[in-house]
Amino acid sequence: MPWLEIDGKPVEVPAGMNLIEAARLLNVEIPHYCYHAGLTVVGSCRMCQVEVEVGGRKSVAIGCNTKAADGMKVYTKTEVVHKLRQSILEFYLQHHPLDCPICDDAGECDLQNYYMEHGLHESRVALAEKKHKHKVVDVGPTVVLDSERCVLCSRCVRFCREITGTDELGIFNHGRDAELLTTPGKRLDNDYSGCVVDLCPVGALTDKDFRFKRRVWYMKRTASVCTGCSRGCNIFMDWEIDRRYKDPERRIQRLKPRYNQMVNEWWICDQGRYSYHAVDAANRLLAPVTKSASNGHAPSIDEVIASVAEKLQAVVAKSGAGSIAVLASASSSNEDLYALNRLFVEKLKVQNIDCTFGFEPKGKEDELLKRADLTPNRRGALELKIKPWGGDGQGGDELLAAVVEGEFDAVIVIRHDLSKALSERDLAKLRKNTGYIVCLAEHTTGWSDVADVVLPLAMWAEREATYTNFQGRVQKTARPFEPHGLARAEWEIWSKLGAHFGVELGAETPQALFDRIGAHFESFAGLSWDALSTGGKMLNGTPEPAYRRVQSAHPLPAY
Amino acid sequence: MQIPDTLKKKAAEIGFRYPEDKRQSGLIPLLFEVQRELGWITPEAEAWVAETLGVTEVKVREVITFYSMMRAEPSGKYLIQVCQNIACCLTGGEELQHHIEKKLGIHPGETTKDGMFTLKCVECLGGCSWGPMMLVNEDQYFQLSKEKVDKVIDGLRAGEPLVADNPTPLLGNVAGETVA
Ligand code: SF4
Ligand code: SF4
Ligand code: FES
Ligand code: FES
Repeated sequence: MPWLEIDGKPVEVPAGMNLIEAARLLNVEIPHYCYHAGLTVVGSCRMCQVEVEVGGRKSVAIGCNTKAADGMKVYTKTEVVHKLRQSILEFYLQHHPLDCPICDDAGECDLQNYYMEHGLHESRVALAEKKHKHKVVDVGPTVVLDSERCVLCSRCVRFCREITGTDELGIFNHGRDAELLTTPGKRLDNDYSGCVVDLCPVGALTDKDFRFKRRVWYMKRTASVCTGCSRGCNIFMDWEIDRRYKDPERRIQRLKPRYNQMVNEWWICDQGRYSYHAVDAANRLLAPVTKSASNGHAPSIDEVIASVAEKLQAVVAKSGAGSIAVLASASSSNEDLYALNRLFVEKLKVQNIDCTFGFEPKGKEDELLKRADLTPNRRGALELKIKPWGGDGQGGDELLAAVVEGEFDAVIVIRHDLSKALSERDLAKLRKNTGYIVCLAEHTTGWSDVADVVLPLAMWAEREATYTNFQGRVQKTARPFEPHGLARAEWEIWSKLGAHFGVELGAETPQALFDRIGAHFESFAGLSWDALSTGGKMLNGTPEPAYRRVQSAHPLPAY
Repeated sequence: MQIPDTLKKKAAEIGFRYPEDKRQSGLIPLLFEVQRELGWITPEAEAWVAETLGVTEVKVREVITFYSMMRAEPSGKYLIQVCQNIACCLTGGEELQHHIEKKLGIHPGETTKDGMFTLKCVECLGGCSWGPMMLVNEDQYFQLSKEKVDKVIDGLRAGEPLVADNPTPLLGNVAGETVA
């Protein structure tokens, strides 16, 4: 591995690493536009120039396309480098519009930031002489283009060429007329189109969903995990709750991918990116709902749970645990399922429990990230022995059929929309045949026809939880804010209900619960909440999957 | 619009020149053929070229819009490109352009009413030491004067063009060879 010196500091780097990455290891930022570790190197923006000394000879080189070599000396802060950066920025800004006050990228724009850090020059081009190009071009369902702001770094072009293979964008014309556009008649419309907005170093590509919603400096950022499918892409939640007069019901402002080489690299799919709308949706279930008359008094969660406990106790006393069925969910977190298991399987000895149902929606699967299985924790459910009913795979559907046929006196339905799973006739049958139905739901749809009691669930953004992705990687979500209304984490509901049955979970936080899972289940042994860190850990005895795509021959630092 | 058989035949010939996995090398030659045949590269032809060579439409578009000698819009029978780069300007390129504008009654980017000429000003045409110069379709004319320009344009109108100064090196034949 080559040893080199960057700004006088020695550093050893993996062979083949370029100077931008090598400098990063020393926390030295070499400004750049066109280079992106996930894309091919084109060396077109010339922003990353540094002075390089090899064998006593000093010259100027671009950091993105120069590989670190043994004995090399790199200078990133000399007068020459400063002049280079200033000149390049002057070049870029010649015809750049003075848009910062209205540009959605202000605050996270590399042109703006670099200008403040390295540019600060007087413009030699009068405002009236600036070149004009297309503004507010509707290029696709998720993205708006302002080609005047584009620095022609071609990151978005390469993304659509190299990553999605859809090739919608190109740079047309040449010289100062060069302009980024879609081919006439084509739209930037692929399953990952939002990623070009993340990639764009300036405000040329902006996200329709986010445009003009917030200034970036008002937002806080929390590292979390997407629960949109069984991949579990790493994300940042950008959220803001202090300025409630601005769409008060919208706490999360946007999701951005968070780099994890083993899971999603730098990308997320559009479906995941915009999934956050469900968290603050108008149809969130905010309070428990019961069928029995309440005399105008809104029952508290505790009251409702007490009534559920009473009812279940009566059912067990009358016809035994065999008369309870639990339609569990692979969208529940590891902690939820652990608590569920402790209460229903271990304590009440309920056998009729499953989380594999054919009616669950299937997504589109592709080579990049998207998985057909839209539940984030199927693997976790299986590891935690939420066993398929009948023990042989697709037992869920038979369990559901048995439920409809009236084989059970009480049914617990977790996160399932039975109105989608069953025909109207079957729903009516279920209603007639089953004495008591409890639903746990996040939204107000899907249960009203069937449930005696509905308990409101907190969503992934409102709770800390762990999920096990299809590869066996356990990752955790974070909770920047409290759940809406009276919604509660699923495990909290089981914990409260369990208290009526004398079940002690032995832990009252997701962290402690997760550590108990480690003590109980072999595959989680040795894992702890803290050790999951922000990148997750593989289940005990499950090998790390191969790197998804070997762009560089070395693992890259997270940033 | 149908792609004429002659073009399809040309495409096959061009394809033949390159190894199977390097078919896209035929992009520029094929685009020139399209232009010769159709006068400009129509959207249908653009799509056909992409499909024929197995390259994406974006790539074809990038190439067509990058090179000034590619015509993505209908143009006159003769495309006159006058060099406006430094060497030609020093030897009178700018005046020549004004002369042509006056003579044809059009501005750069426009086509004469009779559909004969389209005028374009472009950067260096690669004949700097023999400036000022212009390119008419694929023919180069060097060391121009107003008189020489008149002769070229009038000759084209009359169907007796002045012989180009150097048989075009643009399309693969070496300077000095005559084009068949
Ligand atoms: S739109 Fe953005 S990402 Fe695309 S080329 Fe322009 S500056 Fe680069
Ligand atoms: S691929 Fe799956 S986990 Fe990744 S962003 Fe999309 S929905 Fe979320
Ligand atoms: S990052 Fe090196 S030239 Fe653009
Ligand atoms: S400057 Fe006119 S041909 Fe080069």
